[in-house]
Order: sequence, then C-alpha cells, then structure tokens
Amino acid sequence: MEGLLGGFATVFQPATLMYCFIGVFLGTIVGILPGLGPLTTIALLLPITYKMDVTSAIIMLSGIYYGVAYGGTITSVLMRIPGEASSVVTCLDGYEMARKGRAGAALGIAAIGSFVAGTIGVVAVSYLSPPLSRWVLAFGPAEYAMVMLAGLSLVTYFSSGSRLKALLMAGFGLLLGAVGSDPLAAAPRLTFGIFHLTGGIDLAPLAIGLFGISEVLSMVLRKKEKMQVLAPPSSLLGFMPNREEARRSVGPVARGTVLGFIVGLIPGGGAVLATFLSYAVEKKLSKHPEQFGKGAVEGLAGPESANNSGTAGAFVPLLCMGVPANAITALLLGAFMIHGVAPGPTIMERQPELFWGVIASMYVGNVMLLILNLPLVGLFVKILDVPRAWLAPIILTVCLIGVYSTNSAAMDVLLAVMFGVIGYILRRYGYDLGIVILAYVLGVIFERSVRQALAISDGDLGIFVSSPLTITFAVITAVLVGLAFVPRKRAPGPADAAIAVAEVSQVK
Amino acid sequence: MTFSGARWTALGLFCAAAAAFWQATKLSRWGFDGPGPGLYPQVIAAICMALALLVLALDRGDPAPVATDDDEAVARYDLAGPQERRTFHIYLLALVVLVAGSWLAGFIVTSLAVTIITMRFAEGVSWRATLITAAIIALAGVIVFSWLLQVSLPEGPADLAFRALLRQGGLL
Amino acid sequence: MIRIPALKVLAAAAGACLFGALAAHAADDWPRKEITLINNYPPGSATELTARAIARSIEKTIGKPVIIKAVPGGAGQLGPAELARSAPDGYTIGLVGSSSYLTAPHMMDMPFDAWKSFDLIAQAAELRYGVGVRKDSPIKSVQDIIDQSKKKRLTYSSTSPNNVLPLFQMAKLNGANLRWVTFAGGAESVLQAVGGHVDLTLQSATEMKPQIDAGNLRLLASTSPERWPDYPDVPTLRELGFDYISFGPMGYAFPKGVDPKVRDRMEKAFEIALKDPEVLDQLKKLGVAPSYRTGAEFYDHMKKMEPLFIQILTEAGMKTR
Repeated sequence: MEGLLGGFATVFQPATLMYCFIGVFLGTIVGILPGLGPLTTIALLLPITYKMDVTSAIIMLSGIYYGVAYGGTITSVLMRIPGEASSVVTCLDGYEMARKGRAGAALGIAAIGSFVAGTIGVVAVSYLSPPLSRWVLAFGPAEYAMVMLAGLSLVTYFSSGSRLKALLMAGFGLLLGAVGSDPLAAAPRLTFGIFHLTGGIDLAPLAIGLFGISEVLSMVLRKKEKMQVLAPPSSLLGFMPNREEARRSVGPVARGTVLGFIVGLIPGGGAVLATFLSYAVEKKLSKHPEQFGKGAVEGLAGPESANNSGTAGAFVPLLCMGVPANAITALLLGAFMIHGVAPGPTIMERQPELFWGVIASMYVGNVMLLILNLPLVGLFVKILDVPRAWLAPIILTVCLIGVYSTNSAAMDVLLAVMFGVIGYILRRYGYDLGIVILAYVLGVIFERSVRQALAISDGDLGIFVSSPLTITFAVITAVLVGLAFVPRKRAPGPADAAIAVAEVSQVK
Repeated sequence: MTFSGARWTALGLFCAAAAAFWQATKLSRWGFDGPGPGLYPQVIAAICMALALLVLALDRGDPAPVATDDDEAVARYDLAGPQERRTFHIYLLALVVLVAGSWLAGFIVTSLAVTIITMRFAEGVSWRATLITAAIIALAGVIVFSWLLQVSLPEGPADLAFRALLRQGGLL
Repeated sequence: MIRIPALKVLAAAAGACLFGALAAHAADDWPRKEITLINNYPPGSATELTARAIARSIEKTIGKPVIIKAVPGGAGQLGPAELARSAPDGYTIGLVGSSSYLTAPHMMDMPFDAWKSFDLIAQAAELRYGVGVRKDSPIKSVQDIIDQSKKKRLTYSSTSPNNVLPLFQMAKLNGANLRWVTFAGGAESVLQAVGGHVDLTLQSATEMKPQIDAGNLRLLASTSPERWPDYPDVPTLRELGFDYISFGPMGYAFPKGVDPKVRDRMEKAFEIALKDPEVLDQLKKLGVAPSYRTGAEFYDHMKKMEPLFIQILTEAGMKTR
C-alpha cells in the first residue's frame, strides 16, 4: 500500500500528468486512424521519451496502449472495422447497437466498462502479481497448446448458429494462420506459389475484409431508407446509456473483468481469447440469448471489460517475468530496457518506485481516458449522420489505406477484397467469422506449442495429458467438441454417428 | 438433394481445405529434431475437409427469412429487390476497381474512381456532389496520411505529380 | 561492323539518362521517410535491445526515425527472410546474424540464400551465451549433462541454430543424449527451463541474467570464448575441457541491390553509432559485446569461417542439407 501511494505521488506531478494526457490522446487518435498502428506511433515517440525519466516515459506509452484500445472500439462500433484482434468481438454487438441508434450508449458503456475493468485489473495486478507469476511458470508447451484448444472449443461451443460450422471456421482460422513461413523452421507453407504469401496473411486484410468490406456489401443490399440511423440525441446526457442498458451491463462488466484478468495472463493472445470467452459466457447466462449479434448490450459490455482487465493482466508476465503478452506490452518492455531497467523477478525489490509508478499510472490513464472520451462520444456519433452514399466511399478508402499501408503491398488489397466477398457469403450462410480471427491469432502460438511439446516428448501424444492442467483442458475440449456434433434442440439424427468422429479428431 | 447456396458454400470450403491439404503434403511431417513443417497444416486441413463434408451432408439449407430485413445481421441477396441488387453489383465493381487501382493507378486515381462509381452510379448522387466529395476524400487521404503522417499509400502518376507539386512549394 | 540505328542509340541514351536521373534523384532524396529495421527476435530480446540502442544513434545521424519491426520465429530466420523479400529502396534494413550464413542453410530449407540476398552494412556486436539449469535441477555441472542424459534424454531450449552448436557437438562427441526445442524469444526460452518444462537452456546473457539474479536459474558454464563479466566465477566450456563455442556475430544489411550511395551513407551512420560511447555503454549494460566491422569485412569474416562451420556441423551430425 505504501508503495502504491508512493507511485501516486510520482504520477500526480503536473509534468507526469501531462505526459499521461498526451499518451491517452494520441492513442485514441491512432486507434481511430487507419494505417497508423501503435507500433509506428510508439516508435515515433520513443526518441522523445529518451530524455524523460523512465516513469514518465512508461506512463506516456501506457497511455497510448489504453488509448489505442479505445480508439479501436470507436471504429468497431461505428464502421465495423476492428482496429485489432481484441476489438473483433466489439464489432458484433457494438455495431448492431449503432445500427439501432444506440451508438452513443455503446461507446459510453465501452468507456465506462473499460474504466471499471481496467481499474479493478490494476488493483489485482498490485496485489496478485507475485503468486500469479508462479502460475504462469506452470505453463509449458503442452499446457499452452491445450489451453488454446480448450479456449477455442469454448468459443465455438457458445457461437451463434451451427456449432459444426463454428468448428469448421475455427479450422480455417488455424489454416489461415499457418499460411506463410513455418514458425520453427522458416519453410514457406500453403503459399500456392504466391510470393507475397510467404510472409503470411496479415491481420489487417483479414479482419478489415471479413468485417469491414463484407459489411459494406451487406449494407448496400438493404433498402436505402432503412439505413437511416435514428437521429442522435441532441444533449450530452442523451448519449449516455439509459437505465435499462446500464442495469444490464453491471453483471457482464464484473464477469468480464475477472475473466479478462485471468485469461489475459496467458502470453500471446490471452486478451483476445478473453474477449471471445466473455462474449460466450454472457450469451450463455443471458435471459435473451437471441438478441446476441443483434445489438445485445451484454455482448458489448462483457468483452470490452475483459479486454481492458486483460490488458492489466498482461502486465503481470511483463513486469514479473519479462515476457510480453502482446505487441504493445512488447514495446513497453523495449521502453523499459532502453532505460536500463530489465523487468523480471527482481523488479519489485530493485525498482519499487518504478514498479509502483507504472501501476499508479495505469489508474490515472484509465481516468484520463474516461474524461477524454465521454465528451467526444457525441462528436464521434455524428459520423453516423452521414448518409450511406457518402459513408461507403469513406469506409472503402479507409479500408484501402489501412490494408495497403501495413506492408505497402497491393496484394493485401486484393486479399482484403477477397476476404470481404468470401466473408459476405459465409455470413449469409450462417458461419461465425469472429472465430476465424480468434483461431488465426491463436494459431501461431498453438502450432508452435504443439510442435515444441512433441519435440520434448519425442512424438508421444501422452504429453498433452501429462499434468493436471493439461488433463483439465483436454477434458473441456473433448466434451465441448463432442457436443458440437449434437444438433441443437432437435431429435437425434445422423449426427449421433458424428460424435465418434469428434473423438477421433480429438486424438489427433 | 438440391444444391442450394448453403451447399455450394460448404463445397467451396471443402475444396479450399483440400487445396490446403494438397499444398501441405509437399512438406515433411517429421524433421530431425521434432515435428516438421508439414504435420500441423496436414492435420488441420484434414480436419477441415472432414468438417466441411459433414456440413455439406447435414446442412438443411436456408433458415426461414426473418420478418423484417432489418433484423437480419446480414442482408440477403435472394430477398433483395432489383434496385438493391443493381447497387450491390456496382459496389462489387467498385471493389474490383479498388484492387486494380491500388495495383496500377496509385491512391489518388483509385480513391477518385471508387468514390465516383459508388456515389454516382450506385447511389445516384448528383455529379456535382459526387465530384466534390471524391476530391475531398482523395485530398484528405493524400494530405493527412501520405504527407503529414507519412503512411505509405499506393503510388501512381497522380501521386508522384502531387508530391512534385509539394516539393516545388518547398513543403517536402 | 555492326550498324546500330541512330534512333535506338538515342533512345537508349535518353533512357539511361532518365533512369540515371531518377536513381540519382532517389539517392539524393534519401531519407525521405522513416527507416524500418526488421529484427528477428521479439522485443526485449538481446538482439532487439541492441538494435534499439543502435537505432537511436542512427536516427540522430540521418534525421529520420528508425522503426523496429519484430519478425520472430523460424529459429531466427523469418526476419532475414522478410528482409530478403523487401524492396531495396533504402527504407528497410534488418538484422542478419551469422546463423543465416553459416548454420541455418545446412540444417533447414531456407527461403533465401544469405550470401546472395543482402548488401551488408556492418557487423555490430557479438552476443555472449551460456548454458543454465533451474535452481533445483539435479544437474550440477557440465559433466552431469553428459552423465544424466545417458540415462534419460535431456531437452534444452534455445532460439537460434548458432548458439546450440556446443550442445550438438557435446551430443555427437561426448555421447550426450540431447533434444533441442526451439523457442521464438529468449525470455520465453529461459522461462521454460525455470518452469522445469525443459532440462537446460542455452541463451544469451541479456535474457538469462534477470533469472540468475533472482536465484531461479543456475549458470553452469559460459559457452562464449570468455567468461561473463557479471559472473566471473563461472568457467567457460573451453576451460572445462570442451572445445565448443557459441559463435554469434550479428550485423545489419539492406536487401541486395540498394543504391550504393544510400548504402555508404548508412554504413557511415553505423560506424558513428558503434563508436558512440552512449551506445557502447548501453550494449555493455545488456551483456552484449560490441564489435564493429564494415559490411565488407563482416562478409569476408564469415566467408573465412564457413569451411570450419561446415566441418563442425558435419562432425556434430547437424549438416542435413
């Protein structure tokens, strides 16, 4: 507690507060603009931070981290363009809420939910870091592989529509993630002889195609007059969630926070998995699951909270183990190191003022984000006033910039458009595309872990059921995948035989 | 067993998985120090093929249309009127132009072309409004992203000319 | 005498002038925007931190930001592979280690030929390596590795085919039964040993030091030619009677075919960086030994080492290509 108070004393200096504001503000802008990732921003800002002390530098960079996450929410809600993998779930119900005229409420709930979850997550980091980091150590390759598999099966089990189709989409996500160079031996794979594909398929063309472009195609098939979104309210209060929406958000925010924090600890995709799991859980618990995918406020509040507490959770392996959980914490790690600080098991003893300063800055960053964003929600929502005829070319241009700029490759534009058309067809026939993105993100780590485990065990599959953790995950996976072959609320039919198939594919 | 759109889709997914499987068979399954690069994609592609076949066999076709089109998460082509279908086709054309343009014509021309196709021909906005909007979008893209933020955009003659103009003005 | 139509000559000359003018223009213009530096290990790894320290000085010299892009995986070969694929427009540089030249091509199918794919700019540093075990491991010495592995196969984590050479040699020449498990990042690789998922780890000083200091990891030996300055009591493999070393010079390159003027300017910027006391001090803090060579010298140095490596790899049974 003393440490934390000391941390706050550091943060509440005017200069530090200013850096925090700059970070959060820039982060939000960057999150909204296509083609300007957090990577570029932090890289551009890093030289400025050299002259600052470590704490100010980290505070500013963490601010960008939160800001980017929130900016990604804005484009997801308003245009169905996910800025990063963890805002894919936000596209589902956030965008539908916007279509129903509740964009302001969606952005408000996202901001408040993120704030609550982020703050609670930070408290948890401050008190639970040492024991939790021991938990992270229990994860070897076999454990990683099985937890990814269990997470994927949970998400497919709770997906909308046919579970079989969801499983198929998970499979395709894994395949898309395998395109490019083999993660262990660098051999080019599944490239069909196309040179560009040896670098793999990037998230930008995949996510923007499957979500943004496919939505443009769906949008233009609707009758024009129906595209008119309800006129946004004129007063600031009108943008706030109404009482009903607020009430329905409380539970999801609380559950999302806990879930996000725990799952966020898993390096490499933990926060992304957490958003999907939270969505699944909320849908399961909801009294009206049929509203999910059509603007259910729970489907937005839960994942958004999970994303933010996952962000805080990701700091545990970073600070205590020196293992970054995602691209942005990786950059923060770089910022630590350039200032001569090596995060790791000794950081709390050696640099308590830094450790607590960063923790305190995370509280402050969350508050700033809330203060900054709530008044701006009204401004952002105005975008939806723009009629479709004007909005569509803007969205297409934004997609073009966002996709092209990642690799400066026209091939990526082609990929995005292909994924857009395929995505439209798949959505039309009831396939859940969120799972594709989740499996794609987890795929690389999943494969790597599977192969490392098999190398350790010399090909013995027993390693995947060799510890209490792996056995637990294996049982979860087997049960959920098995259930995918049972048709919902229908008399048993040809699918009974398929359960056997499910178990066979499990063993593989 | 009629071949509905749903079945065609499942068949398409099966073919994609089969193609991936065929690609993966070229790679070794086991290396000198553990599983080789081919093992994982082969297993995943095989599972995808099996699942796609199951979907093909079990998918009972289209769900009944929901009462109002607006409640559907995705608008259905088969339920759309002729006017909307026409709009849809023109947007598809715009996407083709988007790809071809980013390959050959650079950002400015592509952005102008896509805006004109969608606004004028798909949505029926007046020429005047279309051209003004197209110019604003293209200029905003170039000025904000390419010039101020140094984001890389497709380059064509128009983009090079614009940069030359900036350089003449001493702005670059 | 062959007669060449005057028009063709004229056209060719005009074309050459135009092309020359454009090329010259591109070189004079450089750098117009930020430079991307492709690094082959994740942020926080020894190479990434080295790159950051150097990039800082380069930024000062050329006046444009240097952005570090992590492309980890493929036993450290995915980064160079991406570099080889990039356009030689002077805006993409990347780390190339000796592994891309000397070891990896003999062990795996490479998507590029390092000798032909790069315009080397400079050698920057050599990494220090060591072999370690978790604190409560029954393995107490290097001899224990050999003895215990004869009863039960031991596994070790490591990131690059270059640093694992000593353990491959130990397996071949001392009869140890060892299995290499590749990881994408050094910190991750070390943690697997701390968590007991693999028996040993062979990694660079930068990544092992925090865990050694925390008492979670024991350093058995330095696999570099010298002892680590931070732990002067721990012997080198050589001193223990095993003449094996991890060889890790790392440098930077453009993709092949970059404008020579641009290359020269970048080479100059690297030379300044690697003589900058601030950079040298940072490298020392990271446990990395600075060691500067020009691009051409780096190339010759590796060319000279090649026969020796082929011999070691063949002896150790690693040469499979």
